[in-house]
Amino acid sequence: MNWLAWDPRSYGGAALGALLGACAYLLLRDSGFDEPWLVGLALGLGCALMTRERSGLRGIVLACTTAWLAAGLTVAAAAPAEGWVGGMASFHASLALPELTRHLVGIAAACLLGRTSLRRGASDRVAGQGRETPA
Amino acid sequence: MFGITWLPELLAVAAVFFIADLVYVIDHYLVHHDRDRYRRTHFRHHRRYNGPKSGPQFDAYELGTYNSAGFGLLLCMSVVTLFSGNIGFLLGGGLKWVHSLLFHLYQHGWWGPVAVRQAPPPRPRRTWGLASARYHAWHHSNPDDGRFTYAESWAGFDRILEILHPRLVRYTVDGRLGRLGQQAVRGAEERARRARHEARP
Repeated sequence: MNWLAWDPRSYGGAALGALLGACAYLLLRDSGFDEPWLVGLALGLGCALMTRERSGLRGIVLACTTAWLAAGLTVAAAAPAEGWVGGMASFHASLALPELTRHLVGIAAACLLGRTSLRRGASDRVAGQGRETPA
Repeated sequence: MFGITWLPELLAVAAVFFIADLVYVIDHYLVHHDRDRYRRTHFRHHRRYNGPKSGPQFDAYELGTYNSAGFGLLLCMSVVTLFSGNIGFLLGGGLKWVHSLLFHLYQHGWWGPVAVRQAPPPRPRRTWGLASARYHAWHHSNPDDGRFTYAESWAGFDRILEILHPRLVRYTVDGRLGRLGQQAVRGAEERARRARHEARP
């Protein structure tokens, strides 16, 4: 039984969305539009457009991926004196409520879009059922 | 880097074990009360424990289940660490993953010449303390026993489940199907009674 709801098509769509979202975030950030939730929105949309099944577990995995990706990009763009790893270690301390909210919005968007499918007739994927049956 | 002060980190590790085990116990209870899901997935796990020790220590189902659940927990806990700065959550996720794999190997008799079933553990007491590997091993050799030993960390989860079971079982898949079946039987009996009544001269 796979608790990650692995499916190359769904995760491939999420990866493509994440790439576009990261580029958009970094480009707009240079123009003063610092909104890390763009990453989660694009990542979730990429998955929802490509996938043929709904999966709550996949939504959780994509939300976690978004959290790391958005934080990593925020730290990289800020170029802290202690380096990227040091910046990630002290990331929690650098978050005021508005920044935290922006990150949480992105995580929520990735979770909600990542668990659904925008295709008509999409099926539900439930752990331990259907495709989860071991060979 | 993370400013480790030990007590918060240790508490975080304990919290991860506690919460992960709660989720595990609930899902384990649910799969044992979903006949169809049990037959298609979890049954093979018990069959392996109860048969001769001839297969690999981990089969594809066990590897897939333990590793994907362990990785999922680690991923979730890494995010909690990222936003809290407490590395104990990440360590707890990693340790729980390792714990699940070692627990399985111990219970499958990795260190001994025979499987647990061939040298079964004594029936454990209804304890509220920590769940040992031998405590949980009872479940593997006796999956249908009314004394629940689903827990891997705190046996209290099993005691609470035993108390809640008469009410909780109605909301499981088997419980719902049982209710639907009873309704169908009652409906059929009612229709038959009416038909007999109308057929009377």
